[in-house]
Amino acid sequence: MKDPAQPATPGCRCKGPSVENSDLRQKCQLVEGCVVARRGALATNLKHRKNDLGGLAVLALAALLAAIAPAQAAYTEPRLALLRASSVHSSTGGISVQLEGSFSFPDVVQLDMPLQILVTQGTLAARFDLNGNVFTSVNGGPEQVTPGLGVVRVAARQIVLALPAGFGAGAATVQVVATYEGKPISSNRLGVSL
Amino acid sequence: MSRCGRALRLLLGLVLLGSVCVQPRAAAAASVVFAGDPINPSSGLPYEILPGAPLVLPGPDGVLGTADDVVDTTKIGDIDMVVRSGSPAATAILPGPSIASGRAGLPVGVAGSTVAAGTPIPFTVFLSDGQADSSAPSGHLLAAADMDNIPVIVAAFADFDGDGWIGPTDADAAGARDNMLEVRELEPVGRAVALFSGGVARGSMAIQAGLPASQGGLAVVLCALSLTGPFDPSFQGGQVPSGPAITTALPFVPQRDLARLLRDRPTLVGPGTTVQNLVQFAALPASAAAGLAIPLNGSSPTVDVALANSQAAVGATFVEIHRTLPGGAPLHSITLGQRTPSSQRHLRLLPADRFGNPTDPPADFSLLVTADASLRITHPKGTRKLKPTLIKTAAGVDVVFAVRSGVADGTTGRIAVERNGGVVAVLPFRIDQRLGQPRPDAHVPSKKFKSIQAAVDQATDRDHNGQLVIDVDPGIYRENVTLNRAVLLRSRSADNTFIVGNGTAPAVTISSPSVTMFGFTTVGGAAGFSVSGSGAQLSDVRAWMNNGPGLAVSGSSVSLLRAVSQRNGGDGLNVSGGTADVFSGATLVDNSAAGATILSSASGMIESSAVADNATGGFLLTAVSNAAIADNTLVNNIGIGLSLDTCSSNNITGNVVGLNDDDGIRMDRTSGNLISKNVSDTNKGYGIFTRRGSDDFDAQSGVQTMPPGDNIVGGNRKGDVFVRTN
Repeated sequence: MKDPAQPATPGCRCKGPSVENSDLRQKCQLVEGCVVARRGALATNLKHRKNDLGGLAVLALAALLAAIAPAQAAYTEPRLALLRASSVHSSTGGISVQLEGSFSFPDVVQLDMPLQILVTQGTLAARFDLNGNVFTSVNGGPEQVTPGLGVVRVAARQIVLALPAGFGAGAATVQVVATYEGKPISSNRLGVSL
Repeated sequence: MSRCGRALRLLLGLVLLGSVCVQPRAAAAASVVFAGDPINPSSGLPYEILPGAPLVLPGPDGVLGTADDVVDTTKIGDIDMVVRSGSPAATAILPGPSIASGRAGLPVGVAGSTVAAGTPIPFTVFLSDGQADSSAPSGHLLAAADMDNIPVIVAAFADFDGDGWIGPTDADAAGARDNMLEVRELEPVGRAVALFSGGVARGSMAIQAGLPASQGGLAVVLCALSLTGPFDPSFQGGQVPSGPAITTALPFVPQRDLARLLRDRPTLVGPGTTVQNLVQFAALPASAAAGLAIPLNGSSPTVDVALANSQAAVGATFVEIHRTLPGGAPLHSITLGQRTPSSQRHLRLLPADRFGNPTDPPADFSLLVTADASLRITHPKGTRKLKPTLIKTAAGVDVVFAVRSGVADGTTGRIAVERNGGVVAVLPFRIDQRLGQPRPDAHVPSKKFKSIQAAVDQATDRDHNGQLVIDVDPGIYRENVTLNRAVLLRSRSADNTFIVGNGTAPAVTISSPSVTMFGFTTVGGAAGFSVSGSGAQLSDVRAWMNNGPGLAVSGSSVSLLRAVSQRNGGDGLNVSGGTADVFSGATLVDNSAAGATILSSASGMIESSAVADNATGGFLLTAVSNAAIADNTLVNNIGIGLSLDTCSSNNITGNVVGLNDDDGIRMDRTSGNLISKNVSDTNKGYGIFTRRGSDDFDAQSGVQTMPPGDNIVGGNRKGDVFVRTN
């Protein structure tokens, strides 16, 4: 029997690059858990390099990143579960994303619970709020207010948002984050083909 | 705990509203608000009765809101509490509803929360001594000290169809014809909590719905509900007042089954509990004629009216055009046939705010409607040349779609609405040759067939084409239907065709082979759909708030397409013993048991289904063999996401399993299964847990018995993989 504290195969395994696996590769690169697993591997390596100040700095950065990442709890209350994501292109090339999920919509809207939607494609990330604002950042850099329609529809199980310029055909991930009692609560992340 | 957080916690009071009937509490001295009220001899506590309405108790099924409810007209509720829009002064004689003075003086809000550009509506709740007469129609202020710091929940219900009533009623101009459209008025569009002090509670509420300011806004009725005190540490940890409930008028009898109200939580009440589903109605009122619909003219003394305007236009929404009925709900998808008239669809495109509310467009608001190649847009003309249509008013424009000739049955696609180069609305469509073809042999309701069952029992194959076809009009049908002969039973949409069961038998029982059914919602049955007949085909059906499972299947070769099973008292889908059943595109959410429980089934398939928020797990498979479980999303379930117990030779591929409260994928005594290309992340247990199994975790590199293989795991709380060999 294996020790449950030590996963049989730590970290992620991403196979490919076959066509059918490309989406999975994208998911693997962006799934929170993979990042966590890599951090864990990094920490393990650093145990053997205690005097490596550069490594410690990286570790500290990793810890900071972990600290500021939205809490992603198993089974969320309020509910933030993404179920399906799809994209649609306009006649002029604009891309919109349609999300289906269980969003605790009444909680969010009727009880003033801030909600944000995060879309990531490669190094480009966009953040949408329910006021129609769109913020983008590249490579984790500072956010910039970006013109665009933003969230155009919030319904009981559906969110539709128009992506700003910069997003193109290919794989992306989406995630919904609500703030409850001052703490961010995140949905699962879903892959979407733009 | 923050003040807001405290208020949210206090909202739990509503969850437990009326639970004394099924969850006896230790008898405590009843609040003075119950003075003179009838007492339940079995509990020694006052009955919970809506003001002006008779006492309603669950029937043999033990659940309110089903057709077996028992109405005791000898006990009529008095006034315990009133809610007023705005902030009127607390006077000895309680003020009447603001609406009695007309709409001009009503508070006006804007749809949306304060963090989403909305404007809340102020309200005030007063306790009443119930001594109502002509000089004090709402009674007198009751400064009940035992109610100080007790939370009261205020909920808003919208008059979407503008008939002056909330909820299904025969008293409006359309009579019973539009009752099915009025069902959606039973879901609250706003909720808030306030605390009593000296018999008064004040607060404000965000409203999610609205209508254009040019049309005077959307009228919403404010209702209130509260448990009475005290807070008893032995009852729900002291988080919830332990006394019986008081309410204003409500358009339904509130749910009292504690298990149904709390089923979506791992524990009854705890630090992690929030306001989920705090106001939910108890299925449909027993009868539209029962008098629970609330008038907006000020004649209902315990409630009041406010107005909500929609926000600025950012997108668009499609609504059905009813020739004689106003107030159609926004459409989420449409189905078209292959021949006229079913191959054409006449819809209305409205400018909409971010929440989908119709709204006034700005001066230059233009929309372009496009569709996949299988549809033609025959109106407006300019859309063929990708010319946007200027939307001048909140009334929007009519759009007509037609299926091109030669388009295959089953074709799917999307209608898109563009604005400023972006898609602002999407309407999926599907082509179904059965729509309108063949011609029906019977029609319900009609002079000959007033009920669905009557048509099933008596209709004949009039055109001798070998198939009995029954068309059912939109409506609310209070009957348990048994399909014991081969029949095609079809309606236009599950959104507005309801079969309401009696709670003690399935709302729909399919016992005959070769039954086809589409476009129905079942409510209040012992099960929603019970299918034992082989070869049954159900599509676009919805099981909602049934006492047991939404969909119960024991027949073989059953096909279930795009079914929705939601808020049922048992599994979303329960399969037992069938072979070669196919379930595709199902949505199984928020059920009291598992999303799907499958027992001793073989050679079936579940694909492309969404499974979330279920109380005991996502998919629970036992002794299932040679099945395909593919491309499903199983998230946020309490329990295991996907469980395989003594299952063999199944293909489990491409599923996304996350945020579940236990293991993501758990296998016990399994063999010969292919577990490939699944994503199992952020679950509370292990990503993949396998015990005493011999399975293949990789589709391409031969038999790989150790997970994860080509599956993706990560971020699972206990660990990503755990293997036990004994």
